[in-house]
Amino acid sequence: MQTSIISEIPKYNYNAIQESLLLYSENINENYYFSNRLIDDWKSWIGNSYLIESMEDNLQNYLLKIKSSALTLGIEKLLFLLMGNGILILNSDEIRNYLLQHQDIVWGILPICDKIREKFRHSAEITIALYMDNEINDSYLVVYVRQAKYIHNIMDIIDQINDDSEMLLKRKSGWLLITTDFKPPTNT
Amino acid sequence: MNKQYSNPPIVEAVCEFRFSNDTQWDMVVPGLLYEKIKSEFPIREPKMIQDINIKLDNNKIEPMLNPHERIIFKNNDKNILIQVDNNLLAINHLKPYPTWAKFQPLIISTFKKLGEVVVFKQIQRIGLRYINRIEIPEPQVELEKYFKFKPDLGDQLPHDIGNFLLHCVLPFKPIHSECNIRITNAVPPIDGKSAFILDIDFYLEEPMNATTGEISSWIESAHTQVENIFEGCITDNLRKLFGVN
Repeated sequence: MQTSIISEIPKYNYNAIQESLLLYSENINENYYFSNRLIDDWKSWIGNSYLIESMEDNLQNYLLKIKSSALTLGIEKLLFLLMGNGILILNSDEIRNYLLQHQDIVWGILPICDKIREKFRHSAEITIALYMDNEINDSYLVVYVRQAKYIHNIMDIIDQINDDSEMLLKRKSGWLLITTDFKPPTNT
Repeated sequence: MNKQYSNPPIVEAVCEFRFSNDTQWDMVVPGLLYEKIKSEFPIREPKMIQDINIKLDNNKIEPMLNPHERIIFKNNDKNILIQVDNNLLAINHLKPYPTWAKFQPLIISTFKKLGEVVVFKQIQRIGLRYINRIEIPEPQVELEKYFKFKPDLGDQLPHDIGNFLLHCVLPFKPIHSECNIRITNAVPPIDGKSAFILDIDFYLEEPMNATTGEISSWIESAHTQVENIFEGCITDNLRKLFGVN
């Protein structure tokens, strides 16, 4: 369960709203997952509070300022968040280049990795890498789940996450596969 | 930037125009623009955008999602993108960034071509943004060795910084503009290196007439300021890493 950033901020604090928007700023245009999180946070935080009318214009102007058509920052933020969630990133430059060409999957990756983390908690090492199949000139992202002592139904859990993830990946130009190679974690 | 570097850190340069709401924009605009740029930008891709707007309703502020499609045109190398959306034109140049002498004409010519297919009177905002990814071959970096724009923790706090984000807004009133400068640490490419994002976003604060002359003049001034800001953020040690010529 991720802590809502906004709900920790005292009510009626205009600067706090600005700050919370800034935190999400690079994601607003791009990201269904983040946008919905933002809306949920706003609703739970603001609730039925009455706010002064001029605030709407101020916030609209503020949104205009922070909306951006930049492409690379979202990827940088994603990698940073993955690393912060304890996910190992193998050859980040390859992943960056892949995501630049497949922007439409960028914002599916974090919720999928959140889901993996939720299912396995700290009993697994999670690594993201780019898989390149040179025979058919194809590449896609792979998330490896590795355990020191593998549970018997690990493939069932992984299959279920793969099924659930299809919603976020269908009709996208890129792809992400969750699997295991049954190797021990690298940190053991 | 104004110094020529053999290994420049720019990973993306963006020039973005947001036109005023009274612009006569309709859904055929992207197709009409494509006809004019397709020899250079033959790849056409739609992209779903989740825009957020804020509405005041019965004295309640409600953020609202506005999902819609943005059209992106790419060159064959897929490192230059033209993004077209309602009242929006953005020109993105991914690395390798050429030089301002090549990027500036691309901005102006794309703006002019859009002006041939849609009538716009005012520009609500122009942004010229440079995103630099700076890699330093050291696992732990003393920020002051490489950056002049950096967090200052004073004398009493420990100087071992984990993650950080420093953000300043500088006003440039003579040209009705502001600049967001942000520096933060980033995921390094390999162990043993450190990485940082230096993001310089220079933007127009007040609406401007949408004439090519005024646009050219503003983006030239903006670029000069961005160059100066970039150079003001870094030290000679970093210039050496970039291979100053």
